[in-house]
Amino acid sequence: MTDARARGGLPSSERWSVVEPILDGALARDARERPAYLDDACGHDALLRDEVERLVAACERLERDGEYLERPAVVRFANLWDEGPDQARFRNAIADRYMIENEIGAGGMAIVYRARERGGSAVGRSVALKVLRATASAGVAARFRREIALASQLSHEHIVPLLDSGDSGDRLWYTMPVVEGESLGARLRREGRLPISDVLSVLGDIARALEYAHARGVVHRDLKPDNVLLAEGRAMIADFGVAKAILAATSPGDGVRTSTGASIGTPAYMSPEQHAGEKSVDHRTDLYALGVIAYEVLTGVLPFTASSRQAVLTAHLVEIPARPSTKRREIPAVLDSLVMRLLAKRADDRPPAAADVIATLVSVDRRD
Amino acid sequence: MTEHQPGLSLEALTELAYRELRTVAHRHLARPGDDANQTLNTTALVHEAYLKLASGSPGMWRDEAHFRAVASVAMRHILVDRARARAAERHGGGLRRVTLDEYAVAADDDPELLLAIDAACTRLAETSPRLARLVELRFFAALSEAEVATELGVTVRTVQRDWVKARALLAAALAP
Repeated sequence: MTDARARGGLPSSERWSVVEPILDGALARDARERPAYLDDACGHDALLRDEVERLVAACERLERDGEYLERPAVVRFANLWDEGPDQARFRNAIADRYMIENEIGAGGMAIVYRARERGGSAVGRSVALKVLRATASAGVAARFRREIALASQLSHEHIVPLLDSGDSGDRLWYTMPVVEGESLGARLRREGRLPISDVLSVLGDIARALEYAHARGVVHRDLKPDNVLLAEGRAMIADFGVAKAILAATSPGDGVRTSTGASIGTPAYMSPEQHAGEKSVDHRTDLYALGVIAYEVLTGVLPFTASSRQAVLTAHLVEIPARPSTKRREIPAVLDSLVMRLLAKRADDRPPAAADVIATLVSVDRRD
Repeated sequence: MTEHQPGLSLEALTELAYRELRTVAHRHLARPGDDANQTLNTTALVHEAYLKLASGSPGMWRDEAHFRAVASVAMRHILVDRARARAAERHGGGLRRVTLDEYAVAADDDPELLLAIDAACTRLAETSPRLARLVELRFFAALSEAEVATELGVTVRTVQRDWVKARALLAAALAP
């Protein structure tokens, strides 16, 4: 164990020559036969047994959630190739409004820069400038701008506001304030699951933002922990309404692909109706995503994991997940059943609105 | 990998493969206005680079499989070089630990993550050269299970089992 730690979690080659055959033997056996097999193979060596058991667990996780490292580097890191004259052209095209300082993030959908506003008043504000990877024709840009204009009217303490948007040098872009903090996704990757009191406050913040935006006819459609920023003790949702704008800007009926082949929405958090490819999803698709997030922050795992995109899709459509309380006993019953209702397959079976979710969360808070 | 042309070390061959692959990759990926189809078909890319190199200097490569084995190392170098350049550009020099944070749009393609995986794979080679080679072929060179099986001379079933083990070890090495 100490040996493994010192070497960044990897056993030495001598150690591996001992561990690997036992691991192979364990993996080849049925879960029920393993304890007896390991009794025999490891004898009294508790450290060895612990090491093998952890590896068996890791292998089993991978067989269930097989996406890990499954996409080859050239595909997954396709953004590494997206550079050159195109980027220089964008810099020039937007130079009268923003000075791009440095890149602060890159993903399948967009590249994010820290940029400074130019012109008018004295010192320009520092903003996060998101540039979509998809190129845009004139018609597409107009549709994108119409949708994003709707989203930019949102003003709420739990929503990261959209400041500005446009199209320059064939690229669609929008800006938002720079929020210092980390995403809920990053916190989950670091801590696994959250304390119940934090769960209640994070879910409450998200639900309040949803209630506000839904009342104004804006649906998020891509709610996930990476889109929830934690700053100054509260949660804020980023990219509200952006998915719809991107959807509007990409040719309809085309499966909505971006340059790197990712579809809009993140499979693990997409509602059954989104998975089924229904054109008109309503606000209850966000409530489903909230259910998935609630499940994850409570238990540290997703309700549905599978080895392929197709299998994840099927699970969202037909599988009933184990109740969160089976994975963490102290979860209050009211919260447990709220999560299960949010995860209902049929939108009609979910709580009708974010306000209902808030009411339930408040009642949990009072009981404690 | 013993029958190289006299005078050409494996390193020199890798360098050749590297240069050709980079040229081919650039042409494939930098087609303007075509970024709807930018997913890279590595098999086609490696094949194209091989044809070019093989016709330019016959006898340098035993066969395409030989080229592919060398190319997998070259592919890894290309990607890591680019990730390093991108990361340096982003931070004005020094590297920084992966945080996968900061407005992650879909941060699983942060170039620093690629660098972390590369470093973990180098450490994995000390634990098990066989599993590290598998990661090189499967993850960095994007060969299919069947292609890897042919390359390593093992069954597809063995490739699948080793792939799970290799990823379990990498996950441990990459854990914070």
